[in-house]
Amino acid sequence: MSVIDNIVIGAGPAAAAVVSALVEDRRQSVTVLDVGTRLERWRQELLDEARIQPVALWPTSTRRALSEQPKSVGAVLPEKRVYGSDFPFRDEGQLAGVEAEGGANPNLVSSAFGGFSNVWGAQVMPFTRPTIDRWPVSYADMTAAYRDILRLIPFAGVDDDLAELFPLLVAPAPLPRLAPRTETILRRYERSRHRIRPLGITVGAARLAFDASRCTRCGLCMTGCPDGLIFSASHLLDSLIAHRSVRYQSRSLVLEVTEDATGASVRWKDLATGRLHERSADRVFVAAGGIGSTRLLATLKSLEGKSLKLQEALQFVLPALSIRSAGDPRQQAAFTLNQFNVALQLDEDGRDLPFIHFYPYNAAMLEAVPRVLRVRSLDPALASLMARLTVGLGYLPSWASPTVQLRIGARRHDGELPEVTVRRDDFGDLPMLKATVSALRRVAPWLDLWPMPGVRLGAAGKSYHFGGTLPMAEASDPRELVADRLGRPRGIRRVHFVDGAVLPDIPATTFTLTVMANARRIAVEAMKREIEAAA
Amino acid sequence: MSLVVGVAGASGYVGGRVTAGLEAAGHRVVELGRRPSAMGGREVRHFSLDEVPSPTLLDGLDVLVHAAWDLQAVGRHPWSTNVAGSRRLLDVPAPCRVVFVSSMSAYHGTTQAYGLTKLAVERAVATRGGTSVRLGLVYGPSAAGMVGALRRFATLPLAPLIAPDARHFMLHEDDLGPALARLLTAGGRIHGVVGFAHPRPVAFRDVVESLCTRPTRWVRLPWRPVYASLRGAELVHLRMPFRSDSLIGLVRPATVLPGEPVHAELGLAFRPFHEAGVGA
Repeated sequence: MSVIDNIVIGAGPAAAAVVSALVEDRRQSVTVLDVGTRLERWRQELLDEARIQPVALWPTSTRRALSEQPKSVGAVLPEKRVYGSDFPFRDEGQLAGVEAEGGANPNLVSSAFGGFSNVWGAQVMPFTRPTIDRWPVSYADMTAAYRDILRLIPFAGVDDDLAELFPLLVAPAPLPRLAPRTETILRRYERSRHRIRPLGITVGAARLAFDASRCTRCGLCMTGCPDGLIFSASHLLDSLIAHRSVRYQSRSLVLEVTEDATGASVRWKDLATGRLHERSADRVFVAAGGIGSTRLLATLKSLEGKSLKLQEALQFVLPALSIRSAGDPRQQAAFTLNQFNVALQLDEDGRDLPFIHFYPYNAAMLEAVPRVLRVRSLDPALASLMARLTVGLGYLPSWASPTVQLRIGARRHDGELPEVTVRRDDFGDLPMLKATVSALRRVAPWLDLWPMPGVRLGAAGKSYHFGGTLPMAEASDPRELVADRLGRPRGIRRVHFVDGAVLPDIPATTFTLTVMANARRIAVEAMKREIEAAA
Repeated sequence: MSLVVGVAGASGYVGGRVTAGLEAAGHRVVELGRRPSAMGGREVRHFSLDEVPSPTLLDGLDVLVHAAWDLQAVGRHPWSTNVAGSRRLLDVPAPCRVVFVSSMSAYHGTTQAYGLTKLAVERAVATRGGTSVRLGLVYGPSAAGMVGALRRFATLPLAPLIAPDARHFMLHEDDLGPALARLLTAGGRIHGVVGFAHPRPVAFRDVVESLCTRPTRWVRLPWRPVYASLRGAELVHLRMPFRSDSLIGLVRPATVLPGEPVHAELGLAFRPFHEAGVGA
C-alpha cells in the first residue's frame, strides 16, 4: 500500500491523540498544522535556570515571575496563567471574528502548542456508561480507547467508590500525600458512607494526569509545575513529532477545509509571511477545539447565517467551610491540583450526575481575599479562614445547563475565518444546581464541608467543556448537521472532526480524556477501514 | 446452547438455587468459592471476597454469575468486603458476561446498608456492561435469609409485627434458577437491572401470616423503637436474631419492580405468592 497523506489541524489534546494513533502505522504520513504559540523564550530560560534548585530556594523575583496567580478577564471566573504567561489564551489571529456577547468568555480558541491543556486541571475520568450508551459508539470501543490514552499519559489516582461509575481501566500510580483537609474529608466519608450514599453522593480522591512520583509538593501546580509534571498535550506531541513520519508546521492558521472527488484540501495562512497556502491530502483531521473546529466546519458546509447550539457543561464555583481547622495550610507542603471529587447521582441510571472537583488551599485563594484583610494584624484570622476553606469547581451536564448559541456569520475577507458570535441569554432556574447544593448541605454535618452562600456561575464558554455542534449520530438521525462515528459530516468522506465538536453531549464529568480517547478511536477506525477497503 | 457458568457463592442458599437451575437447564457450573458446595462433583476454583482473585479465575467461562455476599460483613465492613471484593472480581480480565445477583433492597434512594452495598456493586456491574438481577423476598420450603428469620419468629406464641402494610415483591425459590437460565439464553441482549419477582407486591402482614404453622399472636409495634433497640444492642455487641439494617428493608421496601418488560420478552415466569404460599 502507498503512503497515506494525513493533515492534522491543531495541536491540542485531540490532535495529539490522533497523531499517537497514526504514527503506529508506517504507511501514514502526518503533517500537523498549528499556530503553535509557546511560552515566551525569556520565561522558558528563567524556568530552565530556576528548576535546577528547589522552589524554596528560588529568588523572590523568579518566584513572582513564574507563579503569577489567575487574572480576571471579565468572564466572572479568573483566567489561569502558566509560568506567569498568558500564552495559551493569546490571540495570534485565531480569535479574529469571534464575538462574545452577554459576558461570554472571549478566549474560546487557543493558539498554543498543546492548546488549553497547558492550563487545564489535569483531571482524567471516563464518561459514564449511561452517557456513552446514547452515542453511536459502543462503550467497549470507548473503553479500549480510554485505556490506550491512559497508557500514553501519566496517571495517578486511587481505587475508591468513584470507580463504580468511573472504572480506573489501568492501574494508576499513587497520588502524593493529600492535604490534611482532604484526608479528613475522605476519612469522614468512609465513616458516614451509609448516611451519605442514600442521598446519591459519592466522594473519592482525584484522578490526575500528572507524574505523581516526582511531585515535591511545592504548591505551584496551579501556576505551572516547575518540573513539568502535569500532562500537557504538548508533551505527547513533542515525543510524537520526533517520529520521522510526523512533520510539524507552526505559525500556520488554517482558514478553510474543503473536499472534492479527488481528496480533501486545506488552506492556511503563514503567520510569519502572511501568505496563503493550500495543500491536498488523503485525509484531514480537524482538531482545532470545539469552536475553532466549528468555524472550519462552516467552510466545509454552508452554515452562514445559521445558529448552532453549543453544548457546554456549566461551570460554577462553590466555596465551602469546615468547622474544624486542618491547620494553617500556608505552612503545609501540598500539591494544589484537584484533590477530591463529589459526584451526585440524581437518577437511577447515573446519567444526571453533577460533579464537583474540590481544591483545598492554594495561593490563589489567599489572593482572592481583599487586600485590606491581608494585613499582619489580621493574620491569625486569615490563617483560621484558610485552615477551613475548600473551593469546589463544579459542572452541570450540558442538558441541564443554559443553552449557548453559536451564530455563524460571513467571511469578511478571503484570508479570514467565518465570523462567529457566542451568546448565552439567560441562566434560567438551574434546578440541577439547586439540587446539588441542597444535597451538599444535607451531608455537610458528616463531611464537615459546609457550602457557603453565593455560588458563582461561569460565563458562556468559560468551562472549556463545550462542543457538540456536529454530534456523532446514527445514520437515521433526522438532524441536518451530524457526523458519523468517524466524525465525518454527512456527504463527506475524507474530513474527520475529532474534538469536542463531535461529542453528542457533554456530561459534568471530566472532559479531556474523552476528547482524546474519541479522537484516537476515530483515527484508529479510519485507518482500519482503509486497510479493509484496500484488501 | 450449553454454557460454562462460573457461580461465585455457589455454596450459599441463593447460589445453590442458582446452580441447581443452571444445571437443570443443561449448563456446566464451575464453583467459585472458598469451599465446595454440598453437591460436590463440580470444578471448584478458589475465590473469596476478602482476597485478590487469581487473574485466571474466569478463564474459559462464558458467564460469571456473582452471588457471593458476606452477610456478616453488613455490620462490620460491608464496603471493604462486599463492594471492594466484588469490584476486584469484576476487574478480573475475561471476556465473559456478568450477571450479578442483587436484591430488591437495592434501589435509588435506599437508606439500608445492605441495599446500598448491593446498589454500589450494581453500578460497577452496569459500568462493565453486565446485568443485575434484583431478587424479591425469596420464599419457599427451604428459604433462608429474611423469610428464614421470619419463620423462626412464627414459631413463637407471641411475635412482633412491624410495618404490616409495607408491600414486598416476592420470589419463589424454585423460580430463581429457571429464570436465570432463561436470562442467560438471551445472550448479551439484556443489560441493566431486572427484577426477579412476581410483579404484584404482597403486604407484609400476608407474608407473616402464611408463615405460621401454629397459632401465633402477632403484636403490632412501631418500627422506630424496635430499630433503636436493635441498634443499641448491636453497639454493645449483643447477638440479636434480627439485624437493625434488615428492619429498614422491611419498613421501606422498593416500590417498583425494575425491568418488568423483560419478563414478557424472555418468558420469565414467577408464581403469584397467594397461589404458591410460603410452604409450597
